[in-house]
Amino acid sequence: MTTSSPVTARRYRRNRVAQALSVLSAAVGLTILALILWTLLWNGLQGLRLSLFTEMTPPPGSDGGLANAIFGSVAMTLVGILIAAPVGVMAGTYLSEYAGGSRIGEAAKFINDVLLSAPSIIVGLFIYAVLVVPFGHFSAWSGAVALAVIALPVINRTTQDMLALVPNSLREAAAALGAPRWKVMVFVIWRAARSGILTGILLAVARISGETAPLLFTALNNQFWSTNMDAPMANLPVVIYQFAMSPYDDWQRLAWAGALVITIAILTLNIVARTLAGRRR
Amino acid sequence: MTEPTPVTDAFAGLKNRRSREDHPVKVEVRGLQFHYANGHQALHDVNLTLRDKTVTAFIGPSGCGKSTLLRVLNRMFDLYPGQKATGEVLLDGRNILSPREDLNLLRAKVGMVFQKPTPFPMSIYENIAFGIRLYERLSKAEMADRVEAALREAALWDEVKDKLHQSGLGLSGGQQQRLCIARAVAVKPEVLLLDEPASALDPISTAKIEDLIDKLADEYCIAIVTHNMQQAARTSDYTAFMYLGQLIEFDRTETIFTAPKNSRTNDYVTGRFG
Repeated sequence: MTTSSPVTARRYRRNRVAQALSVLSAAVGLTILALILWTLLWNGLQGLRLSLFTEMTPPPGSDGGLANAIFGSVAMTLVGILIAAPVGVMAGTYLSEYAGGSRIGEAAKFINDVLLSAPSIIVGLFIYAVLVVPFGHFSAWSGAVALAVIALPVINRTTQDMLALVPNSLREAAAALGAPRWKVMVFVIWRAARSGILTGILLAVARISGETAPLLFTALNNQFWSTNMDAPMANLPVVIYQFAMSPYDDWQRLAWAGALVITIAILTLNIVARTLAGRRR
Repeated sequence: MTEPTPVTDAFAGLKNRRSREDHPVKVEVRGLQFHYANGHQALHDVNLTLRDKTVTAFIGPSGCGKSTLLRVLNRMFDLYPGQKATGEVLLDGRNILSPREDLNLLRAKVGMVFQKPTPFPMSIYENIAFGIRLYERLSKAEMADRVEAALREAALWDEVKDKLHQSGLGLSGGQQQRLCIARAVAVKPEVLLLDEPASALDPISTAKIEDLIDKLADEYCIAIVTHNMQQAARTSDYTAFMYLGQLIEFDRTETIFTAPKNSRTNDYVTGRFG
C-alpha cells in the first residue's frame, strides 16, 4: 500500500476481519471431519480383522464378521447403479440437449432437483408401498430399486451439468460434417463429457452405498449368507444401525468396524472420481 | 482495424498469385433475407454468386452479417430454432433453403471450418475417419488410405504420421485447425466454408493455412470470412464487402482492393473505418 488514508486503513481492517472469520469457519468444518475420522479409526480399527470379511453376522455373545452384509451392500448397490446409470444418463441427455428451454423440460429439471434433495426415508417408504407390500415380502430387489431411485437424480443432474460444459462449437463441428444428431451425441458429445459423467456415476455409487433409510423398509436384513435377490438381504448400513444400538459389546465393535469399512470404500470412490474429473480436458 | 493499411500493401500479396480463369457458378444467392429468433434482421436482400474452384472472401466490420451468410450456405442456422432465412440459395441450381432439403446430405457437400479449432475428443485418425464413416463403408486398408490422403491434402501428414492414434487434442492450435480442414475435405465436399479459419492462430500457422487455401482452390469452391484485409487480398479471387447486413460491393479481389466503386468499400479496405 503506497497511500494510507483513513479509508484504505478501514478497508484493510475489514479485509483482515473477513479473512479471519473465513479461516475460522474452515477450521471448524475441517476439525469436525477430522474428529469423525479419528473416532471411526479409534473404534473401528479394534474390530478390523480378516474374519470381518469371511464370517457371517453373529448372534450376541459369539464371534463373527460382516461378510453377508458386505456382500449384500455390494450386490444391491451394483444392481441399483445398473438401473440408475443408463436411465439417469439418458434423462440428463434429453433434458440438456433436446428439451432445451421447453416448458416440459424446465419442469422436469425442477422436479429432478426436488428429488435430488428428497429425504431418503421417503424413498424407502415409497418403494415399500409399491414393491414390498404388493409382493408380500421384503427383498433385495426392492432394496436395489430404492437405491436406484436415490441415485437417479444425482446421475441425471451431473449428466446435465457435464453436457452443458461441452462447448457448442463441438456440436456445430460435428453437425457441419453432416452427422445426424444421434451420432453427434453418442460419438462426439458423450465422449467429450465422458469422464465427467463417469464421475457423476461414481459419486452416486458413493452416495447410495451408505444409505440406510431406503433399505430399512425394503431389503430389511438377514442374519445369514444369502444371494437370493428375492429375499431379505443383509447390508452394512442396516447392520451398523442395528448393532450400534444394541447393548452387546461385540456387536458394537462390529458396527464400528463396518462403519470404518464403508467410510474407506466411499473415500476411495471419491478419490477415484476426483482423479477422473481432474484428468478431464 | 487497429492501424490504417495503405492500399498498395494490402494489394502486394496479389501480385504473385496466379489468376484463375472464370469457372462456372457453383452457388447462387438470390434475395436472401435472414432473421434471428429475436426478430433482428441480419441480412438484407443479399445477391451474389460463388464460382467453382474459386476463392471468395467476405470482409466487413464485426456484426456485418458475413458469418451469418456463411452459416446459411450449409443451413447451420437450422440448429437454432427461430432463425429464419428466406430467398433462394441455389447449389448447382437446386434451392437448398427448401424445407425438403436433406440437411445431412447438404452438409456432406458443403463443409465448414470454424474460427476456433474443434478437434473431436478422439485420436487424430478417428477425427478423420468419423466423417468418412458417415457416408461410406470402407475396409481397414481403404480407410487408412483415405485418412492419409485427407491429412496430406491438409498438409498435416508429415507432422502426425507417427502419432495417428494419439488424441487430436494434443496438437498445436495450427495443427488442430489443419486437422479440421482435413476432416472437412475427407468427406469429399464440393464447397468449403471457412469462418475466420486463421484468426486464432499465430502468423506461421496462418501462413500455412493460407498456402493450403490456395492449394484447395484447385478443387473446391471456397468461401472465407476474414477480418484480415491482407489475408482476403492474398487468398481470394473475388471479394464481397458487407456492412450492416447488406452486400455493399462484390467484385474481383483486385478491383475491390485497388479500384472499389463504393466509397465505403474504399474507406474500409484502406483502414479509414471499420
